[in-house]
Amino acid sequence: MGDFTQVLAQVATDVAGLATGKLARFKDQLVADAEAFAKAKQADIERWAGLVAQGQLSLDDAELLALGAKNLVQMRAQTYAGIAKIRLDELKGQITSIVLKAAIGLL
Amino acid sequence: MRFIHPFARAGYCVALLLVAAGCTPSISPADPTIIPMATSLKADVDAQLAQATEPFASHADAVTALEGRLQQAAAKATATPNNENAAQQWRLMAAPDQGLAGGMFARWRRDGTLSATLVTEGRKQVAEGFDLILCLERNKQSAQNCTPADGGQ
Repeated sequence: MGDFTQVLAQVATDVAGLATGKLARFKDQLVADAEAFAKAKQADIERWAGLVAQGQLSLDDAELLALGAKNLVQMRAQTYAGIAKIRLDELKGQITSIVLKAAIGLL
Repeated sequence: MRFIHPFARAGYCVALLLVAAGCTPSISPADPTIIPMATSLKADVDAQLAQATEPFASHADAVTALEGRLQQAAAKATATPNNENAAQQWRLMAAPDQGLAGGMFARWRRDGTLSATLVTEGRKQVAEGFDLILCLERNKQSAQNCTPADGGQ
């Protein structure tokens, strides 16, 4: 029984190491990326408002561009969500490997 | 073989079952046809939109063909299991009532011609949208940082 408890403790340590390493870095990267993207889109919308004021862009056209910007925010969220699933699948694969190695060691 | 306590053996079996259940992928694997298809559509849509300051009637057939390719891509992504993120991206890109490729083509059809400013700004956004689609697909193949604020790629 002692062996099994030790193996479980080692599995828990290894899995925790995976979660605080790769996933934490991924989250930091996503937050920084989302902030930079929001600033870029805000700058675009301000620029289009300026073009409308100068008569170089109709309000109707500016609304289409703003809808496109909103779509890009939605698409970016889907990219983030999809990449998060990919990372989680990779993590699950690594956890599987850790557990199987530990289980083989028990036999 | 060493002795394993029955409780430990049961725990071991439960752990293996949980691991097996966790092996089901939560997102579809990379499809090698998607990246060439999206890259080609990105180039063709951009080339077509570059001509949107000209009368729509002269380009109606080409635009209709591109709209068909966009809808096919959206339908294919929607039909792929565990692919909702990419499917949603393609639907936004193709939809005539949204603001990307499908929306730009619909506006061109409605108005006859588009202003040079709308074409310039709209092309940038459509290209950025395709880059987001490509970014997700490339990450299915291998980890890549392809979503900077300027749209990546």
